[in-house]
Amino acid sequence: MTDGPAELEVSDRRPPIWARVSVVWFIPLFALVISLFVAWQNYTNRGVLVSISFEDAAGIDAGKTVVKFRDVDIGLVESVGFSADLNSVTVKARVDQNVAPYLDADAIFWVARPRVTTRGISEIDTLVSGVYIEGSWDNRAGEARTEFAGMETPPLVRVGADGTFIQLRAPDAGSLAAGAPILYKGIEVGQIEDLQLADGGDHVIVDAFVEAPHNTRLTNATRFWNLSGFSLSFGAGGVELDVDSLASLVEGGIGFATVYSGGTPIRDGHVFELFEGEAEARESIFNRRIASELRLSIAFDGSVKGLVAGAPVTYRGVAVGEVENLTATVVEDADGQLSDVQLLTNIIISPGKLGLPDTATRSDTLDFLEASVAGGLRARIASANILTGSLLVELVERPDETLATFDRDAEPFPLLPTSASAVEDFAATAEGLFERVNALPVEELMTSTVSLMNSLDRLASDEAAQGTPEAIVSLLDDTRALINSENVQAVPADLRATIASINTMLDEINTGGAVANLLAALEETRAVAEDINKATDTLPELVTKLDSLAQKAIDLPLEGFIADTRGLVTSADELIGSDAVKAVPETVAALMTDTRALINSEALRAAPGELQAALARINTILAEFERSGSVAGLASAIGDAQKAAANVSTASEALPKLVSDVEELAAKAADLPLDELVTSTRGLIETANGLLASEDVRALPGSLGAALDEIQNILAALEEGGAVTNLNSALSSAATASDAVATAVKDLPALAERLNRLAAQAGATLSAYNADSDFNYQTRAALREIAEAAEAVSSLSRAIERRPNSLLIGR
Amino acid sequence: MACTRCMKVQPPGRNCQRCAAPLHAREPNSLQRVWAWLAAGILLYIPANTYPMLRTSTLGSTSDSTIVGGVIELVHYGSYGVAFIVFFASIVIPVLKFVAIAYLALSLKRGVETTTHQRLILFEVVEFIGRWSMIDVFVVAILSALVQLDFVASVNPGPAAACFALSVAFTMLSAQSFDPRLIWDVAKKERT
Repeated sequence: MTDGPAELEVSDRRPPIWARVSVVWFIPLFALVISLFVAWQNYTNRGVLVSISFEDAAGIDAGKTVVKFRDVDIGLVESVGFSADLNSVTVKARVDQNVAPYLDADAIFWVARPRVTTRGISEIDTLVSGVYIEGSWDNRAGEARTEFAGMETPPLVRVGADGTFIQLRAPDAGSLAAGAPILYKGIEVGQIEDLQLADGGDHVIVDAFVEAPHNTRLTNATRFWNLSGFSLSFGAGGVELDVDSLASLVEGGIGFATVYSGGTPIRDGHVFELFEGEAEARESIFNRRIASELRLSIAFDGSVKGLVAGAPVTYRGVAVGEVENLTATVVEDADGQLSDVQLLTNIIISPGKLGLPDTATRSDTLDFLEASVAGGLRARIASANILTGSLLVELVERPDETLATFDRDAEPFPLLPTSASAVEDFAATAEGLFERVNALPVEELMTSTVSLMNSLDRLASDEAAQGTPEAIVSLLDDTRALINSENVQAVPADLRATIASINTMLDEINTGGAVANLLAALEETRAVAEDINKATDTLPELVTKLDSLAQKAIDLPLEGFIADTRGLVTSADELIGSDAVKAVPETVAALMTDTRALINSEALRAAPGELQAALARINTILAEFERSGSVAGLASAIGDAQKAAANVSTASEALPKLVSDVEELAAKAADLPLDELVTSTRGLIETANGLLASEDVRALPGSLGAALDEIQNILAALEEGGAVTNLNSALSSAATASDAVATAVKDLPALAERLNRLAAQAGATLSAYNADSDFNYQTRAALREIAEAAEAVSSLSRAIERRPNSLLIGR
Repeated sequence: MACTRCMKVQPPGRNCQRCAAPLHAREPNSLQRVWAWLAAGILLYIPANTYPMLRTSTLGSTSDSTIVGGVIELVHYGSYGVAFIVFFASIVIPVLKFVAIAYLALSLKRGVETTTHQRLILFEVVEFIGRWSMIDVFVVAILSALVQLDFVASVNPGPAAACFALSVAFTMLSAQSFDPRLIWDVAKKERT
């Protein structure tokens, strides 16, 4: 140890206690204090232990399952055990101290599990996080409790929710289920809480809740009705299919409306009637005094097929009641023998709807009916719907029908007299209509129309006819051009000038004493006439002579002359009959062509100009005439005429001599060899005959025929012109019209076919309503499938509720 | 005297001539500090085992697992190897450390059958193995850092993790506070 370090001086002094205790001791002390504090705090804050009993504890794990209130953790399940009698599971959970005071009598607990309902899947998060216990209570602390009975299903309405609880009375639950929605105009405003049988078991009480603020819509004027599933009704309005929503199809639903204003608000627990449908609910305002309704019987004569219980009874179109049932009773005749089976239709009517006051009693109503029947009120069957053939009972007023009485004491109900059914009326009318339609000569009309159309078509399609209008049009064009030419336009002006000149000339004549001269001349003429008169005195003689001349003439061989004439006529006939004459029209046509050419020709076009020029010349001549005092000349000429008349007068003085000369002449003539004359004449006629028979004359008809050909050509030209086109277009219009008619006629079969199809569909529809029909079967099948689907959904939701994990682990 | 920090041998003084660390012939109150740290370690070891070590959230369901619970669970799953390692590192070693330190501290006062050399080896082992007890804390820390998949899966350290870490740290401090020279003092006393 000599090489080692020096010996240590180890003092053996004991330091005081505070110096000997290490500060490190504070560490464990500190840890201990903290541990103790934490332990104490844990103990004091551990909450209140409550026990909740459930039917089973599916999904609840001690130490894991939490208790929630409004989705906030407020506690944890500590243990899961059984109740003393093993009938239920007791779950002990430690709940936050802060909420413990609120756990009073109205607190409820349920297990929140995933739920698959028709309105969706809820609490899906519990599939992975596991179930939890949900609690609900109001915000008032009451007498705290620690033992609760858990609910198997979540409450539909949270405790303390704002709204109104109501009760609905329904004849049966139908397809309603707890949780079904209450809809107001299609908006969900509440839910059905519970369904239970009424004490008597004769109807069902539905507990329902309507949320605020919609609960303020509820008054005693509110009517509720069932929306369950779908309704298929064959009413007076036809087939009606109503489906509200898928949810309501499966779990039902309730709708409501306030049907009249002025209702008073209701309070919690108000009991409403639940009607079968909206129509019934809305009509129910008339049914307020249901006790006063009156039953009547009607014995209809004919068949009542189609009339069913529930069919409406209408009065002037307003439903006043309905058919209750149809019964048959045996009627006894006077001998007490059973004679006949009478079919009674029992109806219920509401006196209020007939206009009677609400206070009317049964006898009041019967009095009213008795008076009405005396006034002509009758019951009859009428068709409510032609398609379905359903019938209704109509109360009609027939004042002119035979008197009938209202049997108010009849059994079982007072008997209303009937009137002839309105159904037969309709059938008869329809039949008559069809008969008349059948009787129409449609086929003949069609045939005539078709042949007319064919003729028109042929005519219109003739090519020759199509060309005519063009020629006419060109002729008109030429004419127009001619008229439009400046020269023609100038003609009227020239004419006016000429007339003016003539006018002037006449004026001068007037003034120039010409009239006086004329009068003088007339005087002279009279003198001449007198002379002639004298001369006529010798006329009888002359006449005698002429007579004898005539006698001679009579004696002439006229027959031969006539024969010759006839021969001439025959020749002419032949001539006319010859082909040449027939050709005349052609020539005429050529003439017309020439005329047209002439009209078209420049020369003719110039003609107005020339006419004008001529008029101008006339004008000039007249002017010159005027200027050269020719009127004076006229006057002198008249004077000359006067002289001449005087001369005549003088000459007439020699008339008797003349007459005698004539007499002589006549005598000489009488002496003439008239026979020779006649012979000469005959010779002339024969010559004429020969002439007619000559080739040249025969050629004349050829010329005529050519002329006629020309005319024909003209007509052909006309044909080629536009006139025929116009005609053609007119005809084509007619053809179009006929086509339209044909189309219309073509539509007739289609219409008939459609009518046929409609009838077939109607028939099919009607047959579909038969009980064993396909439609019925399919509807039933659809309903069955919906039911199966609903069952499957509910079993799925049950399975998921039982074992939420199965979605994850696969079973 | 040798400085315990820089190992410089020097004449006794207040401070080390080289590193100015306080010089002591024997660590003052060494045993007291050993006992104090040991007590704190043991105290913290209790909540470390009762409180959950890991808080595992898988698809919304949270499960807390303590150390022992985790080991049992591992055994249930058949992972015996892992279960053994966790059990060894988290339970056997800390407990053995407590026992070893307490034995060493006690052995200074009372006679023991083990030789000083054996006790020295025991001390060395305790000091060496002490840091490995933190393996649990490491596992928790790494898991917490890695498994944060939000809703699907997440791992969070429970309160036991902190307690366990403190417990291990206190135990290590306790082991360090133990002045092995005291063993030799006792040996010298026995010899004399």
